[in-house]
Amino acid sequence: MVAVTVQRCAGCGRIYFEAEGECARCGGTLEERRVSGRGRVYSYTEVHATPAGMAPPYCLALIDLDEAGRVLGRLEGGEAGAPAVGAPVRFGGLSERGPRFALEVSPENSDGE
Amino acid sequence: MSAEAGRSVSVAGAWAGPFVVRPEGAVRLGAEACRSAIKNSAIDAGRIDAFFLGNFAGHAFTGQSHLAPVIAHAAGLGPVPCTRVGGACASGGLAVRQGALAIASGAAEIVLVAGVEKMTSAGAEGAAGVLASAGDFETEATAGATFQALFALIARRHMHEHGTEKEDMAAVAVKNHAHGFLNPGAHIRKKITLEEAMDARPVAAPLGLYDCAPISDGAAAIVLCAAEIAPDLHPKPVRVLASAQASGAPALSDIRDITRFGATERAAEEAFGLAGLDRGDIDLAEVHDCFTIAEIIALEGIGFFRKGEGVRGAREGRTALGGEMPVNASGGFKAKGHPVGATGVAQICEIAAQLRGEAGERQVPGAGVGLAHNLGGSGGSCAVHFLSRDF
Repeated sequence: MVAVTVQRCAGCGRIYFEAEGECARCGGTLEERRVSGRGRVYSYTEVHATPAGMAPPYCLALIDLDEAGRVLGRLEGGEAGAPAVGAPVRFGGLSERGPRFALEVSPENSDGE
Repeated sequence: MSAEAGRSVSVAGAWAGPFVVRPEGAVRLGAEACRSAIKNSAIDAGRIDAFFLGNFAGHAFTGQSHLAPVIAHAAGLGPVPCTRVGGACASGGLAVRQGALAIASGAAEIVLVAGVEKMTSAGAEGAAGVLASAGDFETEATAGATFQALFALIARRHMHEHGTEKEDMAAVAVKNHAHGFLNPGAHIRKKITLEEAMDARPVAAPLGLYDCAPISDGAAAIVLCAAEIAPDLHPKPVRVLASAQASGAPALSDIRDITRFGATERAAEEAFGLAGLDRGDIDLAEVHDCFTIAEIIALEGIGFFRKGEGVRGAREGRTALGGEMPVNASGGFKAKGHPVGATGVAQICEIAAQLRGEAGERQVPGAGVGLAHNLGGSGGSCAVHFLSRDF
């Protein structure tokens, strides 16, 4: 597991995955946090009717990061199968559309948060 | 706003819809609604002191901004103050509140409030892009979260926490389609079965096509006036018992429990306090059903059902016409249609028609007090109005 550095706004709690000078929303001070990149699915949806230029379907999820807070990102299942509320995920990188997460291959991939 | 906070306010003329795909532009739709509401009141346009227009995104949908004075001019209003009120899908409800406040404060005696949205000219993908901007653009729209996707996230969590099933959401769609079938002004006049709703193509799972309100064009308008002159303007005045508004975090990631809309809960609580009423005093409600799950959560947030039990409304027939408290007798956004800036004003038109006994086949017998609940974005804004018969 590769640790990830995120920045969390001391004012409003927004989480950033790449360096910013200050919070783009409220101007607050950003605090660096070294996190495991692990989290759990708070909720998810498979998007079929997509905006122009985005190929359907894709999965979006609200992820509760273990050491930081809640973020919205793209969720990829792969070999770990279908997503579920409460399923463990890990940070999988950043794209121009925000953070990506991958479902962990784990017996815990159930709806039993 | 209440009697204690200033002058009492009444609804005189009211006119809504039809909501459908229309060839006319936003200006013409808005002006038509304004002229019709004025005609429905015993006044001429020169008596109007101010104009408030609910409009979500006229510029993004059609290219025309600054819609309030443009529509007022087309409708033949004088050079009165014209103000556009924007609050995403709650734009109409917020405009009604601004109109009511103008009268309550004494700044105006007669106010015209309209709502308009021309959406279909933007195309389905274009409209979806504009709607997505009602949430948090930086983290949600950028990630590819359509408006349907935001409410799908809410629905999935509600299912997880409260055992809500897809069938419970489908029951809301079946009910509102059955109501809309009785409304000549509804966009979609088609009854559907539970199976049709369940089997519809997915839009943002778990939401399918029938969980989502259609994209519509349309306008609605009302004439508000000081209550003491209302009998001169309309034979059946309707009193504004309460006008309340609250806000919430616009990004889902900032909300601890996304199965609740804090703005709804705060606005409803304030409205019940202002009016001195309890939930049992409400005879009918028009609530914000941009998606089926939104109606379920609205019923819980207003306090008609305990948290997690909003599904019982449609499932047990309690919120259907003929039930104990009909919800969305108009067909709701689901079937009546959802031209975003117009819907909050149209809710007031529907309640007024019901209280006046002019709702035709969808009439709620003996309706005395009605509630209108209008939500903006995924909970960023909310307006709640109570209306009562005053004749």
